[in-house]
Amino acid sequence: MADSGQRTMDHRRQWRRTLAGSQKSKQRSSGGRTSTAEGNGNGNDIRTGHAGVAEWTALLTIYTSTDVFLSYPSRVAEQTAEGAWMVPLLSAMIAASVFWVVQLCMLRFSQTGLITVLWERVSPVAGMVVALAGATFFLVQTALVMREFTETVVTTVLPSTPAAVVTILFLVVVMNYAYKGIEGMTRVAILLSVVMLGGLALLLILPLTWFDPSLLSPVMGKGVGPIVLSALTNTSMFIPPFVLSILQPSVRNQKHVLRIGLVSSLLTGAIISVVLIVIIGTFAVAVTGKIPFPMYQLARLIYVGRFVQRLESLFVFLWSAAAVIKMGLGLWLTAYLYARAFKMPLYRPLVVPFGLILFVVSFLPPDVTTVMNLSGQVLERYGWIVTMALPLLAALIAVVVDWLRERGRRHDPGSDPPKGENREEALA
Amino acid sequence: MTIHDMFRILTVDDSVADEQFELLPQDEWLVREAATNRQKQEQQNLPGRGQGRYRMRGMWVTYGEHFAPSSYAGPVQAPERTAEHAALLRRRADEADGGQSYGAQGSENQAPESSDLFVYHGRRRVRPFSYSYLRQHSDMAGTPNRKPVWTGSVPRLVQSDLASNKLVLERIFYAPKNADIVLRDFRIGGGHPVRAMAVFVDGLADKTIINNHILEPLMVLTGIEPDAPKSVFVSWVKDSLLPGNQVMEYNAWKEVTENILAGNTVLFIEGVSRVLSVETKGWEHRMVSQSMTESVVRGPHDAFTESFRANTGLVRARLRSTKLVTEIMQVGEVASTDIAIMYMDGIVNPQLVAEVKRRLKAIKVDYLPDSGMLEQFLEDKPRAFLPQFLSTERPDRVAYGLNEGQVAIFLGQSPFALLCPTLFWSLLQTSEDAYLRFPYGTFIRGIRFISFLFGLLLPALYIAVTNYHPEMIPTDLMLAIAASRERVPFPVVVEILVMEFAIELIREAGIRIPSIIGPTIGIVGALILGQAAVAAGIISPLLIIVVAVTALCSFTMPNYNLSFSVRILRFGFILAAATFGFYGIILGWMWLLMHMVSLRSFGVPIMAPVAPRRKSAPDALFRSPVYQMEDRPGAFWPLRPKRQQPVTRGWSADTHDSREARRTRERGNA
Amino acid sequence: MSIVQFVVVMIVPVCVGIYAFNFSRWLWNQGNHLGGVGGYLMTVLSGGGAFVYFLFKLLI
Repeated sequence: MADSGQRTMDHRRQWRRTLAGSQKSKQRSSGGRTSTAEGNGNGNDIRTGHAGVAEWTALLTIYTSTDVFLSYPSRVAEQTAEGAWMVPLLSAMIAASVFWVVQLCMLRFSQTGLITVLWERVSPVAGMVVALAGATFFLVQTALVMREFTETVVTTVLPSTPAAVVTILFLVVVMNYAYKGIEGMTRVAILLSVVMLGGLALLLILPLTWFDPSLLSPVMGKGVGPIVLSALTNTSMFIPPFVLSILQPSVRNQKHVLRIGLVSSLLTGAIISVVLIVIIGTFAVAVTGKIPFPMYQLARLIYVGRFVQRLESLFVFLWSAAAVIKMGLGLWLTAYLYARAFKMPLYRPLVVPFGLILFVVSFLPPDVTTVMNLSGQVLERYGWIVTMALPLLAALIAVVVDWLRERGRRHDPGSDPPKGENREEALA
Repeated sequence: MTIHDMFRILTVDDSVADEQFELLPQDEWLVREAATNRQKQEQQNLPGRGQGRYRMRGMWVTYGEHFAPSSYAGPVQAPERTAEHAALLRRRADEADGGQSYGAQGSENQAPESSDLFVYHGRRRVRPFSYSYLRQHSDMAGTPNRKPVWTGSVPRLVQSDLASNKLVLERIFYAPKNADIVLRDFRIGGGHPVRAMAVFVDGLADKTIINNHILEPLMVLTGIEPDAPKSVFVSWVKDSLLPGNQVMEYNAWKEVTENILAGNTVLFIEGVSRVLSVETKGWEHRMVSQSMTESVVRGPHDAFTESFRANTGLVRARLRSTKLVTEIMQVGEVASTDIAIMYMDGIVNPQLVAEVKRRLKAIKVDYLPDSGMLEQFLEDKPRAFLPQFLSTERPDRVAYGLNEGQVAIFLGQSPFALLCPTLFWSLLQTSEDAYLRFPYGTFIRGIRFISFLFGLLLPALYIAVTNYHPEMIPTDLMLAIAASRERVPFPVVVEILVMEFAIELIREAGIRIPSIIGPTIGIVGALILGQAAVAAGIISPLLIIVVAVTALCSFTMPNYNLSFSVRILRFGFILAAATFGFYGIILGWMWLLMHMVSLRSFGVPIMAPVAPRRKSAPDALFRSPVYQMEDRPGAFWPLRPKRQQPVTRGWSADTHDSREARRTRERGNA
Repeated sequence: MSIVQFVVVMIVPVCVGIYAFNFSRWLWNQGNHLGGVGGYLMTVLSGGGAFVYFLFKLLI
């Protein structure tokens, strides 16, 4: 293995030398392709394709705000009563600031992904741990979401179909999405974003006849403490800090990575907040906390004249579309991160096995109540460790270690020449 | 996902999926090229390379049969000319004293193949040789009374000896037997006549031109100088005696045959090892007439016809620019067909032109009759549902596409030109949209897009609503549907399938039926579909409306290929809806979206200005005012991204005071 | 639970296991031993895990 690493290394150097003339080439080649003496093997070469700013924003926004169709509203309403609409806003701000800090740290490493940085600058073990933690998190999250969506579909549109069949159908489409990769998913997301925003607006405007603003007071609900606590623990669905810091090289315009993270986080916060206002204003807090899928109940309420009524089946379109995108990205991230953890050159062969695991995991809980308990009590409560704390910690550690090494090198010149060379190039 | 992709999932290595051609801006492309080179180099140096069988299998599947090394099984066997000839060959093989005659280098023991028609004999120029030499050294030596036949390979270059040239021509064109080829011996006139020969294909060449402008001046009106040297003779004939508008000089047999087959008249002159090719193309073809498949109300009505040069001329007549380049090449091993690649230099991305040429050169077929087949050879994903080329018969559309940075491909006698790369939206557009004022254009585009959706989904939605979600529709309507379905014995799916099948039948019969009895189809169709089916109680009247609207929707598709994909996908959605209702439809729709989004036409994502977003004038689903359409479609990465000035209505009072206008004026003053 | 149903269900994890195993063997042979180990782990997790799950689900 060492032999092969050495050889590939030589070719990389040669290649880099041939590109030395072009400024632009340097910038692009540093994206996910730089590798130092430690980073041998071909794991950094998983090609994800590139996606633009708007596409990434749409994908991340859809991924995050899809939770609003599931049990998130009722959970938050239970935790914080009338103040629930502030929770997503606060969570979004937390996520945005975490992402900002992570990006500040990553500036030092010239737009390379977080895992690559950890692997090369800190220790391969660190990179592996982060990737595996992410893979596990996304696997569990996707499995739970898949089960919840399956139950939603079964209860709403296909009452006599076995849940396993619904899940398998979902799984087939989702595996296709994961197989096509990030480029395809971002494009589908931007195609559907307009439709989804329009549909959501319709879904929120049509039942406004039941809206009662007085139900929203007292504004703070159970008080500041529960709101802040809820906002802190409910950040696990805000994935931009984690995902974008790893997939940074796949953003077409590197200057706008920060903008993607901030805009998608805040947009999601705003969308969910508006939805929560409408739901609580329509159902009151006590009811919202009890019903499993408040958005579905909201759709059932619609009655505008005799012709426009009971549109809930129509909104299955919205839900399923959002669900497919969400689970597709989840499965893709699982496979991708697992491949990164073990330095595999490809992720696509992992899609099918992970699809099978997803199926099994999503049917491990006996019923939907357990699923909702799991996602509420375990995943959402401790998920922020992966989505928020882990990237923050990893980025800080990377910066500190890199700084210490640089200092050490300055005191002891000539200790590690290839690294210094690479570093200068990366900063150029 | 197609079967092709499913197969690819089963092959472990997927790097080919990322290695497909992608159109990029020039600077990015250079970087990408270097990166792929580096990767290939690395792959070759991997220690376990011999065991990478999955990688190979992946390559095999993607690149298809035409890139596989052994799939093209060598040159095609030309039939033996006569039994007599074959016997001759056998006799020569028996004698086996090769090297006696020119061009017969040990390949006589097999039938002549198309590949050895033009063998290049090293660097040596084949010297002229005489008829007497042939009599002495060839197989004809002992048989003076028989007509000599040229055997062995055809030399590369034309001889100076007219008799041996004639023999070679007879060998190439199977001359006495093949009645189409005319070899006309004559003498270039005057007191000291020179023997010459005109060769052309009867039916391809214009006889009037040959009589009046080749034979007459050469035979009658010539006063040739008897002591002129042979070396200047050809240029003398060319410059002074031949009044043809295009006269070219050649000396290789390959060019000679191509010229003859293209309808030119080739002139051989005794003692000169060069030929003159006079342009006399004049075969019968349809005149330029009205567009049959893409007719419009507003806009030009002419369409391409079955004449190669007339088609290219129609475009050039519209797009009068020196930047317009037409490159012509030939495809076809046995019978070659002309292919013209047309593009605007300075606008089109050069990488795109290179890719078009690369793909064209890879085509190794015996005969390529139509652009419909060429399209299938060139597509990025041959198994995709959607067309990846815009085939059009409208010269104005081609001219407009060229100006946007596309490449047009014309093939031989095909009345359809191909425009590539193609965006999905342009398949839904007609050229009329642009000629109308923008609100009207947007309106008909909207209608067309809705009809695209309806054509795909309406029957499926009907099934889903009636079978799975009857609560969705208002009660009165539901009662009406139920009442109309009361007498119908079939489930909805069967009803829909039967009616869709009937519609497809009518459609197909309408095309195939002789036009004289055409009106019959209307009567039969109307009777079967409208009256009888309902009266017999096997179809509900409401369903007839659904199916008829769907059929109308698929008729509004401006692109013939797109209407096919709509028709086929519709059946898929019907099945999905029949099995899983709305849920099936939405999953199928998501699948289709992913398919569309990951499809590329010559490296350009076909959903391009929208997903992925690219800089472009707002011309996808809607049409904005023409004075706002400043950008060429950015997905083509044209070298000249703007197509008009930011202020094109500077004379107007409201435009005149606009910010842009002021800025332009200040820039002009400064 | 008929035997046919049982076989059809049980064949899925076996196929996926073989597939994942092939992939990991390919990785190992490429010289990517770390990836190979990950692949074998994956094989055990997906093929084995699903097999055991289906077995218990169908038999109990």
